[in-house]
Amino acid sequence: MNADPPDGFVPSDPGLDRLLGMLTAGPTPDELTGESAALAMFRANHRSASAGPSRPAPGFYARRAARLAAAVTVVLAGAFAGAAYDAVLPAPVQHVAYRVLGFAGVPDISRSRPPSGRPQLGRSALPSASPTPSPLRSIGHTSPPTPRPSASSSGAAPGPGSLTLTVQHSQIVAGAGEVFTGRLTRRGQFIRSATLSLLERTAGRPGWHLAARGTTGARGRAVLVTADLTANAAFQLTGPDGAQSKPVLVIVLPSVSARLAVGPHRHADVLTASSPLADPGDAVVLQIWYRGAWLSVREHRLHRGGQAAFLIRPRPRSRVYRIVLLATVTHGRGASNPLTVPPR
Amino acid sequence: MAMQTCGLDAALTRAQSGDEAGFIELWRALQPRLLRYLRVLGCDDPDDVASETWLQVVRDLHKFEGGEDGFRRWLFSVGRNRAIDAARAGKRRRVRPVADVLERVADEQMVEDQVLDGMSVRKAISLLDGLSRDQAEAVALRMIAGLDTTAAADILGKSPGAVRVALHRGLRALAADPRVQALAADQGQHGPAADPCLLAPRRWAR
Repeated sequence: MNADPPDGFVPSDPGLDRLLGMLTAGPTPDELTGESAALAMFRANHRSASAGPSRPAPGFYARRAARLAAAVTVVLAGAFAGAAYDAVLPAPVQHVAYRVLGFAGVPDISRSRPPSGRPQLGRSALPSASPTPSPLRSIGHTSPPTPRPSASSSGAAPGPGSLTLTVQHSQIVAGAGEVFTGRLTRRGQFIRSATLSLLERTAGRPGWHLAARGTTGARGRAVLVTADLTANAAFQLTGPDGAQSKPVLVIVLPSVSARLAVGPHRHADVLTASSPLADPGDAVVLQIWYRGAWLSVREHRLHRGGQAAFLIRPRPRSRVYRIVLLATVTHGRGASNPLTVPPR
Repeated sequence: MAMQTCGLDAALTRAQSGDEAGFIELWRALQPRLLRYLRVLGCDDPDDVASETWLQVVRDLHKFEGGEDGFRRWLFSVGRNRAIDAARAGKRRRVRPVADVLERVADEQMVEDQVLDGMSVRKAISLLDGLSRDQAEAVALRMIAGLDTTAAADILGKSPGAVRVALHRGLRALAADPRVQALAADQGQHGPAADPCLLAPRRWAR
């Protein structure tokens, strides 16, 4: 048995140092995506905490303070409930509201977004070979207006408004479309009839270009759609008076297929991997299903035609294989369907 | 850019008094570490568990007494409990809410850099898969969360000696892993810088 090592003792090793450096590296963008939601949660909690009758005052002032606090609580609760019914709260807060008020019809995040009236995306069975996503259409949000006072016309007040951009999925299948929702507010009011432009910057290509354009509806919201995304891309929304959203990143997952060609007697079978949207030189890994887990067996590079071949030795038992395309800067990780190689 | 968590005492005090900037400073410093720790634990949805963790922390923040080290211990303890609850509940990966799946990128950075950063961290976390649960947790709590041995032992319900042994064995196993050794070949190219707060003196100090 090893002696108890000292508290700070860490073996010195270059690879280990590098690993620890990676584990403690600065935050990645996706690790900080929940900041606005966390802040909203903090605000909501602090408001409710400070609105409570925590410091009783003597006599008349105590009763008056209590009544005031109760009134503030009712107003805050009303505003909170109104926002929850309209599903405009940040996701975690909306989820909490759903837990509390779900019985009364407050929607959960998964049901409240995206809007029910959003268009259905067409997704082609065979992805386009085009490396650049093309803009398809843009649709103004058409949800029915609610009695709550909200909108003002666009451009009425000077200065840029607050523009937020949300995306339906952070990862999509290559060739599929993506739905973006933009919301423009100024001084807490929704801005309607404003034109929003969705800009796209594709991995491996410099500069931004226009992907879609839309007009905000009564609640300051516009739904914009892009189709045939075939490479990782950042998207950003711009609006009137220089309003800009923060960019969001969409990872594209290429399709990978595996085809088995049975070899002649006692000769190897050939498993051919194919991923039309991957680049020549991208790595594909042959994996075998073994004792409940996928084990990597071999790695090849895709040829110019987006294919790579693995030789499979004949086995007396059937084996299940799959091909995994490793992620690169231009696309995410893809995997083929499992393929059973019969015994021979 | 390495994660900086030194000197969060002032931010903690401000957050407890309701200061949003103080809370955001805390959140930005500790949320990435929390997510990485939850990933090491094998959470199906670390973002969801992290949200639950912060929800509890925010709710009870006014009751908290102590400094940065105590807060860090509390946060990761709550996170671990939430992760265990989630695992017990058999939560399946559900459709993630829109706001949680946003992957925001800085304006100046290219898309490629963003993707590489994320891949680098995930790859590093995946290398801990080969460790036993105790070893992985000891490494994660000491190295990622930045807790001292006593705090890590407190969270894990073990003696400090047991945590030291698990940490030592875990690091030895990692150093012997061919995948980790291969990382040394990339040293000095474009790897992320280590967090100075962890490297010295916190990481090495007795």
